[in-house]
Amino acid sequence: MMPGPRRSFGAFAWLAATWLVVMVCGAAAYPLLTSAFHQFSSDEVHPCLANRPPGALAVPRRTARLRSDSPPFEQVARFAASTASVGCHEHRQSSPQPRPGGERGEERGASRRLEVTARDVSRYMRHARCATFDTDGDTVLDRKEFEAVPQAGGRRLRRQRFDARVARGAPGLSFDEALVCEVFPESEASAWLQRYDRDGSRTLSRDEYRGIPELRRYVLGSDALGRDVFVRTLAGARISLFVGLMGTMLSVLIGVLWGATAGFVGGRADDAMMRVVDVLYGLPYMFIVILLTVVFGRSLLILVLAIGSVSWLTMARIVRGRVLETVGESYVEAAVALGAKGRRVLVRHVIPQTREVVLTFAALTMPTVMLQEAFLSFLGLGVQPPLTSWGAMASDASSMTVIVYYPWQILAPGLAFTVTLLALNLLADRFSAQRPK
Amino acid sequence: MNLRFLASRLVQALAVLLVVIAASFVLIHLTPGSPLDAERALPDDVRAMLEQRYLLDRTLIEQFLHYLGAIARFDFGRSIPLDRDVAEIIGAALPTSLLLGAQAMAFALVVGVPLGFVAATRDDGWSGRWLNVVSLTGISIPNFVLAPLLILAISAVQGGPLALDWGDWADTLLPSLCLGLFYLAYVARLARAGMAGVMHQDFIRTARAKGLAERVVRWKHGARLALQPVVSYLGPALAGVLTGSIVIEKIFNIPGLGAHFVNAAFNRDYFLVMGVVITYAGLLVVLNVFVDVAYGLLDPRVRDRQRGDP
Repeated sequence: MMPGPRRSFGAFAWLAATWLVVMVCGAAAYPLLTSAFHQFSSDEVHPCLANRPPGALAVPRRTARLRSDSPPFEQVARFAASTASVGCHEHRQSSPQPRPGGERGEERGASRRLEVTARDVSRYMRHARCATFDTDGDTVLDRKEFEAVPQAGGRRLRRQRFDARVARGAPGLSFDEALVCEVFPESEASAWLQRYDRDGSRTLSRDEYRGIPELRRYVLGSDALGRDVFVRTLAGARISLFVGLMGTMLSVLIGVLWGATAGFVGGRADDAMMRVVDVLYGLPYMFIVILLTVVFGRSLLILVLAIGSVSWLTMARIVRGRVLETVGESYVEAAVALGAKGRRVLVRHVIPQTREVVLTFAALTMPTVMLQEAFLSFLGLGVQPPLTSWGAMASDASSMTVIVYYPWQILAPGLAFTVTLLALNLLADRFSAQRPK
Repeated sequence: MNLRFLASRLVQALAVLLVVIAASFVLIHLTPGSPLDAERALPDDVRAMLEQRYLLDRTLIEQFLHYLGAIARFDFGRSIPLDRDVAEIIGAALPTSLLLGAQAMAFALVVGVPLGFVAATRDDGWSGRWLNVVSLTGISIPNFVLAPLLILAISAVQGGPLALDWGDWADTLLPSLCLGLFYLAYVARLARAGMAGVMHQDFIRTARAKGLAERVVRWKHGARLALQPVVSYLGPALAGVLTGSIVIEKIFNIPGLGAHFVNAAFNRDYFLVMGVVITYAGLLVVLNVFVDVAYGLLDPRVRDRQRGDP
């Protein structure tokens, strides 16, 4: 590849190897993410949560889990019956106010209700959090008191906002501000209110109320069908890496057998075999592969077979060259003189000598195979749903609106693919540079 | 020009083309169902007439020979889902794809070769390593990732989405760039390797000993040989540009041959699929002949071999 002094296995190559290991582990273990970390699974479709940016919180309707600290129905009902407005500084009502929406609980007594709304639940949570503060909401908190307010945001975020306010000249945040801004951030409120209703006014009876749903986060955003991009990228890694590996192994198998046989046997058979390789070399193989998918249908097996069966040509040539070099060696002659049969000599002495060239070229073939698979999947002729690969994800995300307005959908699989290919190319480059010429 | 060599290469090219046509033909006919089984249900008499026209009731060999004869007359059949003659579809879309491919290839060669030659002067050390990684990155970005990235970058700079068009020449620049960048990086790597390898050869030392200036030495004498790996890569590069153009045409909504090909593959539009495959294969074999001739022009040693042993 690159002439010049021998390069040691440098920093770049270690980075590349690390990335590949991480990718393989992530691809192999991504179902754990779904179960252990309660994230979305790769083909969970939520059309109403489509095209969310990275980091968006969401509550999927059908598959939400409930928080373990969800308040029981009675407490919420009692609280809702006895309060009329938000905030801790409201005073308890002595008599129930007429409320819009469900009034069916009124005849049971002022403090009991048979129905709640999501908004009641959210108000209750805020109230429960500030139960330790008996303030009227106007007291200014200093930094330590501010940090003691139970909040939903991160620690660093709280401190940053507090510092920002103080820097702007305010003496601190009032408790109300602390509650409103920090305790129940707007995104979280709206996210879990979706679980029940858009504005939280739909009434829920005791049976309908199940608790507070756990929020899930779209780590890298969601795509047009509401699927989690991060988990899908890992699922795509699985297919892409699998097809790459299998296709490479298939092409190595065919190439080594073909080239070694041609080089070893020699003569007219060798000529004929290499002529076949020459003819096949001139064919636009991608179109043949597409034809194969048209004829035989689209499945993972066809994909691996088709790609592997067009990638072995250069490997065959290289192996044949190496075999021709080896066959002249004296130990091969010795083996033949000792009476070893042709096939034994081939397998035991000649083929192991091709190991280095084969490894080097296999490392170069894998990116090519992955690119071919991505190309086919991009056109829709590769893996079919529910399986996904990086090419298929890129294809879904390649319209103009998606690229400009929801770039994470193309950036996640695209960058993962690029870095993986770069890692493979880098390692192949280093490996070939190390080989003594 | 050694005509024997050219003639033999042309005959080889024709043979390869025939193999492609035969392979496609056989593959297409392996599918169950007849090519006339498209979505529309044809009335019986129309069906009988079409079957008679395309000899679908004869043996496979007869069909194949008939098809070959039709190809020779540039009659590629009729696309039934699109209801147009395949030759007309291809004729309308081919110039677009050719322009795209030619621009991409020109960009890759005109920018890549000098870049590689200049980079050959820095082979070791940190700058050499970084250049290596940069060029590796260039060949690691697939074109369906590069195109959205560039579109995103330009849209961010412009402040709004790009208007994708294929009107005047300025619109063709971005797609050609996206298509050609991979090959630019590859060509630059090959040129760099070639130039670095050539620098140590004997005839370069002779030229230096004669007292010629370093730059003359490098560019006049060394470049010729250093271009060899580039020229021998041209064949696969052209094939790659042809296939890569399919993706670029899809992303940029370019009315080229690739778009037709993908739709035909989905709709099982056999005649159009075969027509496009044959067109691309024909293009490729002819261009490969040119590449071989160019390789001979470049290296006198190969030319002698060509003259003596076609």
